[in-house]
Order: sequence, then C-alpha cells, then structure tokens
Amino acid sequence: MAARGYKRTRIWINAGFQLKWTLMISGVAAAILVILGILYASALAEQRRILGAAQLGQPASAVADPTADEFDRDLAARAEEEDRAPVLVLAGVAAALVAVLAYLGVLLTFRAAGPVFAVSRMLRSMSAGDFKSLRKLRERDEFRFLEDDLYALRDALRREAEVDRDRLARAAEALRSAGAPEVAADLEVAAKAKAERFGI
Amino acid sequence: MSARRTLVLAILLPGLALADAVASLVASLASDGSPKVRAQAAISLASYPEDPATAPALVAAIADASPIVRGAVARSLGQVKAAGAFVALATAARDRDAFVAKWAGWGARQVAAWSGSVSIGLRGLAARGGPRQDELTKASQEGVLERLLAEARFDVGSSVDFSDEVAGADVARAGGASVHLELEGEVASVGGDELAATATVSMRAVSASGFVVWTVKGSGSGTGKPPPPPGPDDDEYTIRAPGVDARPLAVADAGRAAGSALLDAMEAEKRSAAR
Repeated sequence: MAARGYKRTRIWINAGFQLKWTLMISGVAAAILVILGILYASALAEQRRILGAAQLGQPASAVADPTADEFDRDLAARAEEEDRAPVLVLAGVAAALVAVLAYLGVLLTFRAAGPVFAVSRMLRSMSAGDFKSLRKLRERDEFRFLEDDLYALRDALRREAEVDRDRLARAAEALRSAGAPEVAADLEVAAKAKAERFGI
Repeated sequence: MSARRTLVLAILLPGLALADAVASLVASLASDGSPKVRAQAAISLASYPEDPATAPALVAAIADASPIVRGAVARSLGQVKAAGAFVALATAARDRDAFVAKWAGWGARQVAAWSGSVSIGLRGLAARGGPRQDELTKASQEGVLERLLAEARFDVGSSVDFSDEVAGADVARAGGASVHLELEGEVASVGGDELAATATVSMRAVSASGFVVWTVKGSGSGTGKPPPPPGPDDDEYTIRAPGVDARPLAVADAGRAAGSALLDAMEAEKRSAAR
C-alpha cells in the first residue's frame, strides 16, 4: 500500500527548536550588519571631519580667512545631510535582510523539524501496530533519507510478516489435517490479522 | 651633475611639482567619482589662485551634480576672486540648495568687491507715484551715478543712456567688465517742502541672473531757494529767475548716500575675508 502525501498546516512544529535557530541566524546577521553599519558611519564621519578641515594644507592667508570656520561647519553639516540618504538606504536594506533571514530561518527549521516530527509520528504508529498510516514527506522537506529508511524498515517487517503468515497458514493446514480444526482456525485468524496489519 | 644643472633643477622642480598638483586637483575636481574628493579638490585649488588653470576648472565645476561640491567650488571661487566667475557665482547664488546659495552669494560678493572693473546699469531706480515722479527718478539716478562713477573702477553699462547728463561721469561705456550690477530700487520717502526737504533712497545691486548682491539705503537732505520777489521795475515782460526746489536736491543727495553705502558695503565685504 503506497504511503499517502499530506499537507502541514502548522508553521511552528517544534517552536523551541525553530525559534532558537531562527533567532540565532537573524541575530548573528543583525549583529554583523550593525557592526558594519557602525564602521560605515564612522568612515563617513571621518571623511566629513577631513573635508570639514578645509584650511588644512592651505597657505596662511587662507587659514586667516575669518569665514573659514563658518564654511567648515556649513560644509560638514551639508555633507552629513548628504550622507544621511545612503545610511538610511543601507539601514533599510539591513532591516530587510534580517527580515528575509528570519523568514528563511522559520522556513528552513520548518522543513527540518517537519520531517522529524512526521517520522516520529510514523514510528509511534508502527510501534502501535499500525503499518498502514505511513505518510510521504513533502517534496521540499529536508532529511528525506529518513523516509527511505523508514520505508525500508516497513518493507523488511512486511516481508517477515509474509513469511510468518505463510508459516501460520502451513501450520494451520497441518493442524487441520491432524484433526485439530479449532487450533487451525485460531492460527488462520492470527495469520489474517497479521496480514491486515501489514497491509499484505 | 654640475652645480649649475643642480641649481636649475632646484629652481624648476618646485614649479613642476606645483603644476602637477594643480593638474591633479583639476582632474580630481572634474572627474573623480566621489563628491567629497571633488569638494576637497575644489577647496585645495583655492591654494593656487595664481595658476591659470584654477579659475576655469572651478567655474566649470560650479554646475556639479553634488551640492557639497558646488558649495565648495563657490567658496573657492570667492577666495580666488576670479572676476570671470561672477556670472557663474551669481547664478549659483540662486541655487535651490541653501548651502550652495549661501556660499555662492558670498563668493559673488567677494568677486564683485575685489573686482577692478564693475559695470553698472539702471534697471529701475524710480520714484513711485506723486506729481513729480520723473524729476525725482532722474534726481535719484543722477545722485547714485555721480557717487559711483567718481570711483575709477565703475563704468556705466549699456542700459544707462544719459551719462551725458551726469556731472563728472565717465561716459565710456563698460566694455569687457566681468562684473555687471544692475541697480534697482526706489525713492522710499520724500518729506518737507520746496525750501527744506529730506529723502531716502533704497537700492539693490542685482546681478543679471536676479541675485541681489547688496541692498543699501541712503538718506539725504536739500535746501531750496524761493523765487526772487518781484522788483519795483518788473512788468509782465520781465523774466524772473525760478526758485530751486529742495526735494529733487534731497533725492539726489539720498542717491549719493545710497551710492556711498554701496561702496561701503563692498569695502566691508573685502574686510570680512581678510583678517
């Protein structure tokens, strides 16, 4: 019997695990971006200080210009205004990047936690004797090898169950011939139940 | 190496280094991708006011896309005091960016104040309303021109067409002056009567692009003379000397005062940039 596919509707399958990794990914990215942003803003401020010191390297006559300080202040202020736009754009891009990483964090942990959750449930079903409720993992799920291993386990158990069923059938036949039809009937019922459990 | 060659190199090398520095700054100002580098190049070029490449490079860069470059260029042009930069500075003084407008205005005033040749025109310096509007207008214009044309560096521009009526005016038309100022304004007030009057003239020196370079005011007074009383031998055929009205005299005096105020403003501008 082929395992059927299913659709997961819950985003938070294992909230602790998913939140931990999502926050770690986006937190590390945010920390790196903040450090880079501070370095960038410092570099811009340094440029402004150099640019603002207009009288540096100029002859004494220019340094003596009483409007030099006023010009330096005006220039630094205007340059700061000019620098604000790229800083804001970068801050926006950084915020968007952190948001995208957070989304990816949720998505990836969902695709990792989902199969583990599904396999765990399937193992619980099998341990409860239900071999028919196996589900296929989704196309984009991670750890799909677990699914293959699980199916291999199920098939191995099925083959064993088939062998057991055949043995039980033969034993029932022998018992019936030996004049113990009640015991033979019990064995046949047991064989049938086993076949039903394993879907064979 | 001979001592002579060493000496020649020692003399030439600083000059070569200077030319290299200016060429490098001009190239940076014209084509560097960073506005801050271009602004710094403009600021540094002000250190080479004598170099023939400095002023044209700065004038060309006043149209730069970045306001900080335009502002720095305007400031450097003001420091260099390149007379040929007045038109560009006066145009930039109406820039939408306040930083550029402020320093282009400063630069334009510096260039105009230090220029050895300023042509002036009269766009409108008129008395508004009143029964003697034309007479007062003419008096105010004469007063202003009389005072300004007493200075050798001022010339009348082509918009003035009555220089022959101005006492002591140099009638030579302004030719090739890089700084041209149109004088406009009005006779703000006239008080008194025919015998004793006071007047105030407010005047703006405006660039061709409409930038108000200076705004000044002048007040003056005048004393008139009544017509002589009829003599005992006068009859209906006697031609009697007319009296002198104090009001046009007061307006002309106010015009002269406005002219003086303009000269004072120019001197103050010169002093403001030289400690």
